[in-house]
Amino acid sequence: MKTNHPEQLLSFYVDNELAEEERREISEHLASCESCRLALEELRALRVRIREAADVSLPDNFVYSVLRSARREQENSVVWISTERFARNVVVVLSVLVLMLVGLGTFLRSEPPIRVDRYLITEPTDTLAGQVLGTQGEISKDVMVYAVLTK
Amino acid sequence: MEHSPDDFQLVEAFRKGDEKAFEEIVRRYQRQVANIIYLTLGSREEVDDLSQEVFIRVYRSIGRFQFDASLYSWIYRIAVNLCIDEVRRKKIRKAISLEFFTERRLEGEKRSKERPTASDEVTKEEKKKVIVDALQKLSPVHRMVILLREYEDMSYEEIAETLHISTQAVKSRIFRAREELRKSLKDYFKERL
Repeated sequence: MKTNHPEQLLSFYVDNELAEEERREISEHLASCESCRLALEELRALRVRIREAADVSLPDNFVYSVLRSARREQENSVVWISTERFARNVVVVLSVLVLMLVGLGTFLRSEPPIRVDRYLITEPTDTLAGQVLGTQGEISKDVMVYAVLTK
Repeated sequence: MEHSPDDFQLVEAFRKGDEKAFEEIVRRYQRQVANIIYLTLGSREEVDDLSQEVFIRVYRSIGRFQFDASLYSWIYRIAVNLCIDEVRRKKIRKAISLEFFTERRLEGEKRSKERPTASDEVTKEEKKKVIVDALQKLSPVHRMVILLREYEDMSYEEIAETLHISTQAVKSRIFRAREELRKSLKDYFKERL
């Protein structure tokens, strides 16, 4: 035995988790060591005392109150899932409607292209405005603004 | 004599809609769950509510239980997670309420003054409380392993499987937990052994 008082092995000993050889060695040690015998007694007492302390019992109707609460929770979750699904569908429909309205609004509000007089085509062809005017003869308001700003 | 169904049969029956099977699961493990909550938290106040919450969670998620561990190991893990959440909540409550400390201390003092010291029953209860209080002084990891070993009587392998740790870690934690308990119960053992 490496140590005089093999505390850790005593812990395994009390749990029957030692190999036969080690168990025999500990038994031999215990026969001659009062301090370890006392430690072993304490370890055994500990288990008994913990089990004695665990004396809580639940009410007689515990099973039924669990079932009642579990069923209620399940019913609530079914209602919640249906509500959630309904709300999700409403959101999808509303989103589609909003997108359609925005699209329609944009279409109705779009301004006709600006007709540009021929003299403007004299713009140098290396500018954006010049390129657009030279090829199309008409441009949108946004492109016109961009062309002016980048000129 | 009527054959009592095993856990697997009960779970299967409940999945097929037999609520009596669930009642049997609750009856089978309610006492263990209540006591593990009591020993983990060290207070009887929350035992009823938390035990109920454990079995509601079991009811809710038993459909996903795969039998990769025993039914009780699975229920135990649910109970332990719930206890950990409760401990965290308590810590937060304690931190934000200084009154909590003062009130509890005053209540404790009042109770100890009112306590009839001659009653055997009270003495017995007090001695149990000494053990429960000593368990509370352990770190949660040490408390869990020692309860699984001493109260649930699980083998080292079963504990390792339940807590998802190695057998070596189980061995060393059990040893340390016992050493700490022996140290804090030194006077208690001196009186009783």
